Amino acid sequence: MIKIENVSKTYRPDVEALKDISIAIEPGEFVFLVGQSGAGKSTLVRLLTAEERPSSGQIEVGGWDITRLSRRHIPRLRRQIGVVYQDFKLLEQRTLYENVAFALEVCGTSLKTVHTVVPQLLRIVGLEEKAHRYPRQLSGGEQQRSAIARALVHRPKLLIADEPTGDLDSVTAKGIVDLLMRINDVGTTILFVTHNRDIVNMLRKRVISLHDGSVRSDKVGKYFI
Amino acid sequence: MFSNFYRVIKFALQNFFRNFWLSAVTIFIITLSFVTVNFFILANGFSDAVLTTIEQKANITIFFQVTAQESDVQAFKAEIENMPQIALLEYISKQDALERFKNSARVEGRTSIVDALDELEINPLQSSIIITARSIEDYPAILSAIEKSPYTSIIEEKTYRDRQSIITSIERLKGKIRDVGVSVMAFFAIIVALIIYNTIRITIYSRRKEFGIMKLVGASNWMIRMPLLLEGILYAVISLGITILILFPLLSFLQPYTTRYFDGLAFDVLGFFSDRFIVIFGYELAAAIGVNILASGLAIGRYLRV
Repeated sequence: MIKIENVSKTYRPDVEALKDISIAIEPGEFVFLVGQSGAGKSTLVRLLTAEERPSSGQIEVGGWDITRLSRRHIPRLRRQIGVVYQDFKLLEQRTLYENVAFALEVCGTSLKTVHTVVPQLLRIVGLEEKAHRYPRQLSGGEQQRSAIARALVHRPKLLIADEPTGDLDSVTAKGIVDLLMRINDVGTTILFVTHNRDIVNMLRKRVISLHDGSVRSDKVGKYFI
Repeated sequence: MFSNFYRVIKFALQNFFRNFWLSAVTIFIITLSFVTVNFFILANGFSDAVLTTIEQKANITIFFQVTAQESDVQAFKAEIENMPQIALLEYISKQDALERFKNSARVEGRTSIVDALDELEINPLQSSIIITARSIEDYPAILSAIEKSPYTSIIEEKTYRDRQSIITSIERLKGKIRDVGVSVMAFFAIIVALIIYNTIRITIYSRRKEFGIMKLVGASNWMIRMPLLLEGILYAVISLGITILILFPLLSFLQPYTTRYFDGLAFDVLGFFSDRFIVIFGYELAAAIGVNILASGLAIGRYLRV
């Protein structure tokens, strides 16, 4: 699903965010990407979503060499990847339903499909009852569920969760992890970026640990610092 | 495709109304520019009308000697009347001149003069020719042709109601109005471009989260950029609409004053715009849309990373 080969990213003048890393993630895997702040996790996410390009090396996502992707094709790549962030990135002036529908509308989906897909997704994340509430009327966990529903609108094969539980208490965080596990069960590859040791240790999944821009370890098990 | 187009329009309108005061200020400045530009167009049209009126009043009148033979006069007339520069040639025979004089004297109540003329056995009035040229520039050629004619001996007097000096000064003024007009238009085009540029820049800044999400979920560049371009076009269309709504009532209010002030000058300020409605406002709309697309495009290219 993801093939990262000898990727380095250097920011001017001489900040090396990633140093010659190579990672391969198979379709349907649930992988934790862990590391302290500044380890290079967020840089790697930005490279995977083609917000930035690597200084050297090659990245393939779903068979696409995204390092050579033209600007015109970037939107098509992003429809194959769902992304959720720590700060949810919901539009405050739109209801939960509108937030999810917005993601479809801006991609040119027909109104009929929007009306079919959005309620389905809200049911999956357990928020169909709150579809017409605004983000400020929802709890942090509910907002993150909404963001997950939005990330799933294009039925992506890969879901990247960048610190999705960063602002949530442990009980709510557990609910988000369970939801991501369920999404993984139906075949969606999950890349869960976190520095929360408890969450990683709760599940026995593959853990890739980044340290100072390099892969320190890559194995199934626990997260040790 | 249709739903995409509908959504682009929807997003453009949403943004327009969400940033209502920003939109209002932008429209106010563009409208102000339009009104000023239209007043310069009006001034240009007015100076054209003044010139035409003065030019129409210019002519050459040739008076023949009382003793001139009718055949010579006719020969002279035949010689010059086919000149391409001549638009109108009116021949007034001695008899016509006498009749006209008597008629005007009767109208003015000077019957004694009419009686005196009737007593005379000869007609003391001269035959004459009034020549109107196609354009004011043609008079020197006509005058020179008259002077070179073999019949100059029968000409007693020729008057060229020379308005050349007035025409020259009006033409100079007209040239100045045009120069200032072009400079003012260029100036306002730059102002409008800067205003639009800034408005779109502020829009991009205030909606950066929305644009970020659009990018995140894979919205095409077209879907992100098009509403912004459309918003710029919307400013131009609305501003022009307001300008027309201001201009026409204002001109119909001013119309009686201008007619009274410029007595005898056939210049209809309202008609000037209504006769050229499509040309004037069509060009203005095209120019404003062009400036808006350019300015929005520059702001989008500079500030919106997709």
